[in-house]
Amino acid sequence: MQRIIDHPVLGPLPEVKMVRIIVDGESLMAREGEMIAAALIATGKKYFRKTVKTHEPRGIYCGIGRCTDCVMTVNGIPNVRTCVTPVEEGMVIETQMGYGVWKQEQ
Amino acid sequence: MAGSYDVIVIGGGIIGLSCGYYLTKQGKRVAVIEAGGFADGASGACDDMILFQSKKPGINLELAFESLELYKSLVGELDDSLGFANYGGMVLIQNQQELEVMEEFVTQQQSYGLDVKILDRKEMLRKQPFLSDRFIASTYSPMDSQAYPFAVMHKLSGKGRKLGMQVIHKSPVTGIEKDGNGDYRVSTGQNLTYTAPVVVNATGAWAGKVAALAGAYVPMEPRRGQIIITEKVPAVGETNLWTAKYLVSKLKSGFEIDSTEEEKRLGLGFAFTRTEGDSYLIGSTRESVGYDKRTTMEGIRAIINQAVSIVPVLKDVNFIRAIAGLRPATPDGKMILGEHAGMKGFYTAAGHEGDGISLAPITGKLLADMVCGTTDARLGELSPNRFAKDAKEVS
Repeated sequence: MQRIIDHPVLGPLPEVKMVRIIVDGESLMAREGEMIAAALIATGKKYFRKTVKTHEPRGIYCGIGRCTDCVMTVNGIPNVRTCVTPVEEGMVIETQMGYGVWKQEQ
Repeated sequence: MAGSYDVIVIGGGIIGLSCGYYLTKQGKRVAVIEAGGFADGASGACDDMILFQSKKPGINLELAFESLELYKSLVGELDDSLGFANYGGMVLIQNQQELEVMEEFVTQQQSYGLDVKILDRKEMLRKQPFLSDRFIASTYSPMDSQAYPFAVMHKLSGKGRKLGMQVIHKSPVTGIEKDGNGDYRVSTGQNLTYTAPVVVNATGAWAGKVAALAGAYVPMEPRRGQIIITEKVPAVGETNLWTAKYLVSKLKSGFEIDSTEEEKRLGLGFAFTRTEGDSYLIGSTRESVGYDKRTTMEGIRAIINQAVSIVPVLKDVNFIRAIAGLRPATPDGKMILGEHAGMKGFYTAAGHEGDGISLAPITGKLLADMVCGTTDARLGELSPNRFAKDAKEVS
């Protein structure tokens, strides 16, 4: 757990509703309204994707939706910027390899 | 006086550079004079297709085959991949009427040696699983290819320069006249004058204006084509895509296709190609708006709506850029390539509309052969003199 519970300036973290998200098949809890990237960092996840050519791990970089370093596959959609996308109940989040793949619609 | 050459090529787009390169290879001293900078015109704002399936059997298709072979040899000659790829292409068919026209067209193309066939819905979906339900069949040709225009131009220019070709930028041509020796004097906006016995007008949509400076007639209309570029995304299916709708309306005059007013005004057609950089180029409009090459919200929105309706997964993809270029259109849809009657040494190589990338190498090679004295009987139908009658009516 890497969440700041008591911030020296912002004070203690208020209670909010928790939602369940599924990250690479594992069921985890996140604070409603927080961004996917924040929820994943709080759980200690080390990287969000691996790069296309050299397969290096990448995580959050700019944190404001510009650099696209933190993209993951969310609910089957590749290249979702996790730093600006809020978590939702039941969201399926996957570590993305390269550009990911489109989910085949049946 | 800025210099004298064997040949002055006006226009430094993909056609001008190809002409310059092949002329230089044949030992000519060549200057390529460009009004703007590198890839400033349509060659820098287009898609990347070497497309066979859109071409009517005849000279365009024949030359496209030869151009493909030249591209393959240029990859070695210019020592670069040139973004050359061969994903193949499919033309999507949405109803029985379109299917009948396309079946007939495919049969004609096959008789011309094009490897192309009709796929039924199941075969189509195997290659393109993310299509909208409304398509009943498609064509497929493994020959449709592509090349990255910027790489092609960069390398033609680079290799050409190594062989002695000069490429002069920021030099709009303001006058073309004959001097006492029968050479052409080409003056530019910088008050410089270049002379050569041969001038090649390779100025695309501006070819009519440049020809007029020399007193020659070239009927050329700019058609604005807008294209959007997506972020890098995983591949959507195996091939590049087009729809039959636009092709069918071109093939069968009077064929009523169901288009909205906006689609007609924009000349909207669907073209979807994967780039070397793993993004997609999605087009395109075909608009008559003079020399205005701005992108428009209307055009971009129409391209996006059309693309999402054909490939629904694109609704979750961002587009990162839009471009527009002026495609040079001739009255009969064929390029203009040849020497003007009564104007020894004045050639035009322009008017490829949407085929500039496909046909650039063969255009340059044929032009260079012509200038060096080899004539190809097939090229009569591309001669600028086919419009001589119209020229008289204009004057």
